[in-house]
Amino acid sequence: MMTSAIVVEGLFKSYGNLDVLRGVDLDIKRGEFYALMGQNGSGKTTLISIMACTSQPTRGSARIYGFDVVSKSKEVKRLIGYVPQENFSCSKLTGRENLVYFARLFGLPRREAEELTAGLLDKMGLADDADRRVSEYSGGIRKRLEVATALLPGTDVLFLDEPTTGLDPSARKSFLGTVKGINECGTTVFLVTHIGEDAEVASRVGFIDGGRIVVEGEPEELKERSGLKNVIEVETAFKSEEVAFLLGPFNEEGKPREMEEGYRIFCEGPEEVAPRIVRALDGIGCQVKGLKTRAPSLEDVFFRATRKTLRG
Amino acid sequence: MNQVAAVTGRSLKEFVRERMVIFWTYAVPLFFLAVLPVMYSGVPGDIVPGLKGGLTITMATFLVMTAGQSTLPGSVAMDRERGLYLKMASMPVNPWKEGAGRVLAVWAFSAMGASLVLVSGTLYGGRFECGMTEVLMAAGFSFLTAVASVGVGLIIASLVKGESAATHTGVALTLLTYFLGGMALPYLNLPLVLRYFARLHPIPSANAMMISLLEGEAYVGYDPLNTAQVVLTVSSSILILLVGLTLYSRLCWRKD
Repeated sequence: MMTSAIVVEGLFKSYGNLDVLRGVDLDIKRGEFYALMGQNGSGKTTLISIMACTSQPTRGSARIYGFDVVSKSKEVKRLIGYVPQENFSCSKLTGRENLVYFARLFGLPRREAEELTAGLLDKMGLADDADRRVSEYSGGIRKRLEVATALLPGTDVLFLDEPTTGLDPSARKSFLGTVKGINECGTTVFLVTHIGEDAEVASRVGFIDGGRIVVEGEPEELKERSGLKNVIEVETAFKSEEVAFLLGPFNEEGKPREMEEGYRIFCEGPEEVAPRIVRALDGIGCQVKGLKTRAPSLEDVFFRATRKTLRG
Repeated sequence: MNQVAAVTGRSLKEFVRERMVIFWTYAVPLFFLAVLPVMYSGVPGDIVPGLKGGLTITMATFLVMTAGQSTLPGSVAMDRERGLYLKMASMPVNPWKEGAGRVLAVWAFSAMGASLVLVSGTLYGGRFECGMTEVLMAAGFSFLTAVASVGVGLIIASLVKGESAATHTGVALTLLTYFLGGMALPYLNLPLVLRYFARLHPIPSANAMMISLLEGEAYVGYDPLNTAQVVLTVSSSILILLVGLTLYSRLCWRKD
């Protein structure tokens, strides 16, 4: 019995002289929740758009439930639900009208579409907002509606392209909980993101860099394999070459990773290292505005694996 | 048919719920209808009702042109910018059916607006001297203006990507057709080259046919209802629509 939902083999995609995908291989099992992490421009949207039949590969193949996305796209389109990055729902229509519209695009008669929609609105927690226009929705509710359109009329594989971009932390958490619930009901989920917290809910994570999958594994396994022990985030009064040079010896990898308001340091024994960092910075007149120790995240693991930051 | 009906219903709702679309499509011809009769101050009183009738027909055509050539490409471009085509391309949607749904919505929207213009024009003193046969024939030619307009609109939508650019292109073409096609000026005052344009372009040509049927040939300045011009107007309208639909289904739905 075939257990793979998505199989990608030697996938290449080029735009002119620019190679966006350079030999991607993937095997995602049915019912799996797979998150693909990568920087902007790493090829993740190109990959998801090929699997969602909205773009064509230059070379290689992608199959959904055994159907090739190019030669059997008609069959594939009946199995998948795709939520692109953009807010595609019609803002002048209500949530219910949007869902009925997308259901009818599958060829369903009006009454059947309305019945299906009513059930889906309940399932997605949208029943109270169903008859308001989408233009009045918050970003989180709108995204949930758009996921609902991707579940019509009974999707086996759900593709989500950076769905939490622009959502506040609580809306993001609630949204990811909804997606996790959909996955637990048996739908295979393929999520593309550049936000580490989003990938934490997945059962398996892949890192894409330069058009190739460079690392794959379960979130905890990846953290363990990375060898990272602890992370210290230091918020400094200013950032400079001198500060970075000073912090280098405390960081396992030499020069520390720069953040928006300070530096990130990978180290062992943070209880011992943290006071030394404060003293060293004090010595050059750089005030420490904040310092916190935490366990490594998937973003840290990504940085360790690719030497690149996910955001910015 | 469900796909066609779904797209028609959705597009129509979006048109009527967008105040700016209603205003720019409906209000401009109604404004012209109210203001332009000022020009008839020195005209003998017995022909003013006929002139107002002709102006009413022209403003209905103007409205149909605006809806097809500007509102339609603007809405297609907006849907493209918001990723709706990306979403639909991942679904089992037939581009021809989706395009047909949009066309039907524009026709319905145009019909509502044109009816409003006709009622307003009649209340404002426009007079139509004709029988039922002429009315039915004029309705047929009015439909041709809608056919050609959405054809042009689909061509614009296929070639011009941004919402603002698509809308402005449509407005510019509508105004050019109106002023150069003998709809704003009497046919006999047009230079020779524009007289050809007025006869060859299906929209001014069909407009002239309607005025000729409902008001009389004198209000047009020539006989547009000759066989050659009728055949040319019918065939070119259908051809423009087919070209528009073909370009739309290929370019707006193109996979990179």
